[in-house]
Amino acid sequence: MSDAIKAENPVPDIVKAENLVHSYAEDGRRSLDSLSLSVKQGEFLAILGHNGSGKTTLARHLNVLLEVQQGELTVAFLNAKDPANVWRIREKTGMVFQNPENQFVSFVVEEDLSFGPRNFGVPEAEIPARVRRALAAVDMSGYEKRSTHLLSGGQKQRIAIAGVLTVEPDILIFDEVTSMLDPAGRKEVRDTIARLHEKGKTVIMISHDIGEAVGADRAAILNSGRLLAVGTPRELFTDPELLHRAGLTPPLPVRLYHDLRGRGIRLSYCPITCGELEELLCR
Amino acid sequence: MKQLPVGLYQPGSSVIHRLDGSAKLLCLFILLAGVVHTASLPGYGIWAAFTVCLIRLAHIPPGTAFGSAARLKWFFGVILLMNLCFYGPEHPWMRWWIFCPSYEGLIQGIHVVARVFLLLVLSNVLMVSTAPLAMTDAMERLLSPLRLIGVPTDLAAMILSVAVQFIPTFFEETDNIRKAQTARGARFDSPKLWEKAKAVLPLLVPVFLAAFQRADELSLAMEARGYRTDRRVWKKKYPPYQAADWLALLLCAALAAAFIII
Ligand SMILES: Nc1ncnc2c1ncn2[C@@H]1O[C@H](COP(=O)(O)OP(=O)(O)OP(=O)(O)O)[C@@H](O)[C@H]1O
Ligand SMILES: [Mg+2]
Repeated sequence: MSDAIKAENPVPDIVKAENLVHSYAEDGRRSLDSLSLSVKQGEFLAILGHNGSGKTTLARHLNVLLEVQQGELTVAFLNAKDPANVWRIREKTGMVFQNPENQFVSFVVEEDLSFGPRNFGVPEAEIPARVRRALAAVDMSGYEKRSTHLLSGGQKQRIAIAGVLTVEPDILIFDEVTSMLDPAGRKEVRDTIARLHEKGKTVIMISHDIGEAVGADRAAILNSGRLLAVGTPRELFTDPELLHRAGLTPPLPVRLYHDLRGRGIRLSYCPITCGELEELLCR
Repeated sequence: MKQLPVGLYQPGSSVIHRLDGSAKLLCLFILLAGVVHTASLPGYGIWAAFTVCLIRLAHIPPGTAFGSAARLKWFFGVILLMNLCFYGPEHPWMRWWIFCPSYEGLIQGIHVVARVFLLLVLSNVLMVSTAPLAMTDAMERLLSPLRLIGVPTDLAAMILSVAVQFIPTFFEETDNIRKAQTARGARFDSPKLWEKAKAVLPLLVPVFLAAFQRADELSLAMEARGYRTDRRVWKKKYPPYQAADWLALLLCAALAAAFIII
């Protein structure tokens, strides 16, 4: 696509939040505070923030698990404040949670994966094909008849992702889906998410592990319910002062870059991945 | 290799697996009615043979089929002993202190144990050969007449089936917390009742907190995946019973009727 056509047909905002405010309690303590954020169709957005910064609260708005109290929100081009849109939005957005154990309605993989499509009224005859496609997408073909009890953490979480994919949503929201997994499980799940993004899904990944977010198109940092910064991972993660204010630790290569600088060794640029660091050091 | 908890569904394609869930559930109730009405020892022999046939038909390994019943061997022992010693004080073999073992007691004990044992094994065959959500559908279908008086049967069936699935995880969690607290010096093995109670009470708090947390997260996940309690999206049309389903029902009914009438 040429730049001229691109400018005429900009990629639309599939999620658009304006001045969202949310407080759980009557006391008015705000878990989300005039938050404005938009996500482009097909984008991979990472949302970062320390514990209690409002990441989950934001995610639950995107799936209308929480009602909009103040502000405007459109998800999948639908107004989230209109009660008539709730189920259509939930069909367009798939949400995966932190603890894989607490997301299964049936411990038989095939049955669990059919739960979503059945709820949304997908014809019974179409469901087995959807189950097969979803399992292939998370690289677990042939697990239809397995029991979730016997899977590893990473596999369980991938089944949870497949359970969301059978509904065929456009937007995928991952709320700290790797935080309860071991390193191998984390890698499996991270790779799966990256693949889904490549296939055109809009991905919103919540994490407090900054290392997971370096591959994102954009990152947003939340702090006490407010949006502290949005930008490319490179812009945000090479700014230790900003990360410090958000209560986050910079990625290892960034820390190393600044430590080396303190000792008088200057690298030509600040690497954010270990690959970049390696290349710089080998030069 | 992790083991499946006893009594959980094991996928298969046997005749028994393929029967409609609600037909199976109905069969179970009919069979249990027959078992309860069995009055002679040879009667239990027939039931045992029938049960073994079912297990073979469903291709369930014996360990799985009898596992949950075998776990209760101490319970069965105690039941048998109590019936033996206390049931028939008229013609005891002997009297000693409060004990009066008798032939009637022995027979009564065998009756009770055999009934509970058959009940457990037969239910187990159903659980092992029916997938969890198929079971939910089955319960919903059998409960559906209650819808006429306003009972939310689909909700009730869903709650039941999810609760049942949580039991193994619940035990696993309890065990983890118990281990953690043992490591911190809790005395679960103490012979002193007071120390034991002191160890168990703090165990209950995290177990229940975890259970509530779990329930909360699961309900959110279900809602996110489109489960709605306000309005049914898809009108449920239950598939009609096949010939095999009718045959199974007929067979069970005939067997149970024979025992009830005799
Ligand atoms: N159900 C609730 N009731 C009351 N307060 C809540 C509830 N859920 C969250 N909060 C509060 O809202 C604030 C934001 O919570 P949220 O769960 O969105 O943070 P988070 O960024 O997801 O944190 P974490 O990294 O721990 O998951 C916190 O101060 C929290 O105490
Ligand atoms: Mg959270």
